[in-house]
Amino acid sequence: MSPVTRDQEAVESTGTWRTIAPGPAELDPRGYARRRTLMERGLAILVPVALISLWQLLAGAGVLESNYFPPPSDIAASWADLLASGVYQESVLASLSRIVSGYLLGTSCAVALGMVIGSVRLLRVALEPTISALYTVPKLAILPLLLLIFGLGETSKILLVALTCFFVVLINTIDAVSSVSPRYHDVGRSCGASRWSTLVHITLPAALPQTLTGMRIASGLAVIVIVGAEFVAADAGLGFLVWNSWNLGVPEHMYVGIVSISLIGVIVGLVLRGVEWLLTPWNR
Amino acid sequence: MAALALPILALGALTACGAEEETGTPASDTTRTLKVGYISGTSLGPAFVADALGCYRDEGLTIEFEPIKNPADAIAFLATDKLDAYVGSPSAGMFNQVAKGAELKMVASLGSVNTPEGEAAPSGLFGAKSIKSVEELKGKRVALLGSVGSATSYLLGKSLEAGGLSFGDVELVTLGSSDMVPALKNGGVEAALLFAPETQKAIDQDVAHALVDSKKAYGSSTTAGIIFGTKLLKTERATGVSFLKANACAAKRFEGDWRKDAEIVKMLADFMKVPENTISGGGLYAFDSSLAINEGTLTEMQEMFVKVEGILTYTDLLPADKLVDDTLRAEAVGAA
Repeated sequence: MSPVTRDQEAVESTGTWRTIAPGPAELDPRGYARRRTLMERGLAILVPVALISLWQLLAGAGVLESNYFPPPSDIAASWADLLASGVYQESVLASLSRIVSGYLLGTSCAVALGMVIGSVRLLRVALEPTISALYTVPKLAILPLLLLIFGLGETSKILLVALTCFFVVLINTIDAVSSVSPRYHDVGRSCGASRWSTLVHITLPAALPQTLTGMRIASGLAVIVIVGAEFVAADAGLGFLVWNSWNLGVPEHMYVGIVSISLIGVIVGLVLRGVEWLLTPWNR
Repeated sequence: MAALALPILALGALTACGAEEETGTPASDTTRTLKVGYISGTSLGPAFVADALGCYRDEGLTIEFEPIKNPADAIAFLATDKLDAYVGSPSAGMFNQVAKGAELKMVASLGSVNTPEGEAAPSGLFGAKSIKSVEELKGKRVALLGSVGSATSYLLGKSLEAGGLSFGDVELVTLGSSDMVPALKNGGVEAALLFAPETQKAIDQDVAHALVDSKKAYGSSTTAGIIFGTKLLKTERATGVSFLKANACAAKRFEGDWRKDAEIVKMLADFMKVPENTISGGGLYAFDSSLAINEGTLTEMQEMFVKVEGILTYTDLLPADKLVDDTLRAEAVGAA
C-alpha cells in the first residue's frame, strides 16, 4: 500500500512531497478509542486526586492555616463524625426535599405554560417581555417577601426553588416550541394530525432537547438558591450546616457541607443527563 | 515644676524606648496604624467615638475600622492576623478556635445592661400578647438574631433560664432584628429576643411585652468588649495597651446617661451612619471606664453552649485565662 499524501499546500509552495504514515488511530481505531477513553477518564479522576493530595501536603506542612484550611484527612474524619451523629443525613435530606419539591413544582408548571405560550404567537408577544424582566430578578432577593407571605416554614423555601427553576425552564421551553420548523407542522397537517397529535408527536419531541437543557441548568440553580436560602432562613439543611459551622468556628464541617453541595449538583446533573438520554433517543 | 518635669520626661523617654523594643517600630515613627473590625452597636460606643474625641491620636494610634457583618468573620480575620483587634462579642466560634490553639483573648469589656434604677434594659425577651410568662414558651417558636453559640443566644439562654427553660425547650427561629416585631405581630413567632429600638417599637405597636426583667436575668454579665489576636497580645503589647487607654479615655464620656450628651450622640450617629434620634432615643447601655471584664460571663457562656449538642467542639470548659487577658487592661487603666 502506497503512503497517503495530504499536504497539497506544502507541495505547491515548496515543490516537495510530505508523506504521512498511518498512526495508531488509523491502524487500530477501536483500540485507540478505548485507550483514549481510558486516559480521559483517568485524567478526570487524577486531577482532583492530585489537587486534594497537594492540599493535604500543604496543610500538613503548615503552609496553609490548618484551623481554617484543615487537611482533607481531617475533613474526611469530620464527615464520619457527622454521619455517626445523624446530622449529615438530616442536612442532606432537608436540602434534597426542598430541591426536589421546588424543582418538580417549578419545572412542571414551566413546561406546561411554556408549551402553551410557545405555541400561541399572540401570547408569546404579550408575555415575553414580562417573563424576561421577571427572570432577571435575583430570586434570593425576594426570600424576605416569601417569608412574610408564607411564613417561616418549608413553603417559602420550596417556592423560592420553584420560582428559580420556573423562569429558566419557561424561557427555554417557549424558545424551543417557537423554534420548531413550520415544515414539520405542515407535514402533520397534510397527514390530518389533530392539535393534540401535533403537540404530542411533533412539537413535544422537537422541543424536548432544548427544554431538557433548560431543566438541567435549572437543577444547578436550584441547588445554588436553596443553599443561599438555608444560610439565612433555615435550621437544617446543607446551607445551614455550612453557615452554622463557619459561625461556630468548625470549618471541617463547613467543607463537608460544601463538598456535599457540589456532589449533589453533579449527581442531579448526571441523573438529568440520563433522563435526557432516555427521552430523546433521536438526539443521541 | 522643672524638677518634676525632668523625671517625667526621662520616664517618657524610657517608655518610648521600651515600646520601640517591643514593637520594633522606629522612635521617629510616632503613629501606629491598627486594623480594627467592629460590629455596629451602641454597646460598643466608646471604641467608635474615641477617634472623634482624639483619644486614639493622643495614644499615637491611627485606626482603620473594618465593618464586620458576621462575628465569625472577625474571629477568622483576627486568628489569621488580618485584623489587629475586634470590637464585638465573644462567641462559640471564638471558644472553638481557642480550643484548637488560636491565640484570641478578650481584653476589655464595654457596654452592659446594668443600667441605673428606673431605666429599662436595652434588650430582652419579649412575648406576644397571648404569652404571659417564659414558662408558657415551652414548645413555642422564639426568634433570635443569629444562632445558638452567639452572644445574643447567651442572653436569650439567660432569659429562658429565668423561666426554668433551656434552648431545647423552645423552637428557635433565626430572624433579622427588624423582622422580629412583624413576626411577633403576624404570629410567626411567639417570642423574640429584641434589642433597642425594636423593644420600644414592640411596646408602641402593642404587639409584645417584656417577659422577664433583663437586668435580673442577665445579672452582671457583659458580652460587649474588645478582643485581641496574637499581635497585640504578644508582639505589640504596648500598642495594645495604648488602644485600651484610648478606649478608657472615651468610656469616661459614656458614664451616666450619655444619650443626653449631644456631642457623643452626634459622633456615634456619624460613625454608625444612623440618625441622631436613633441613638438618643435608643437603649441605654452602662459603661465603666475601667473596662473591667466579667470573666464569669465567658465561663457561663461555655456552660450554656456545652449543653447543646454540636455547638462546642470540646467538653472540658476552657479556663478563664485561655480566653481573657486582664493584664493589658490593668496596665492601661492604671496608667491612664
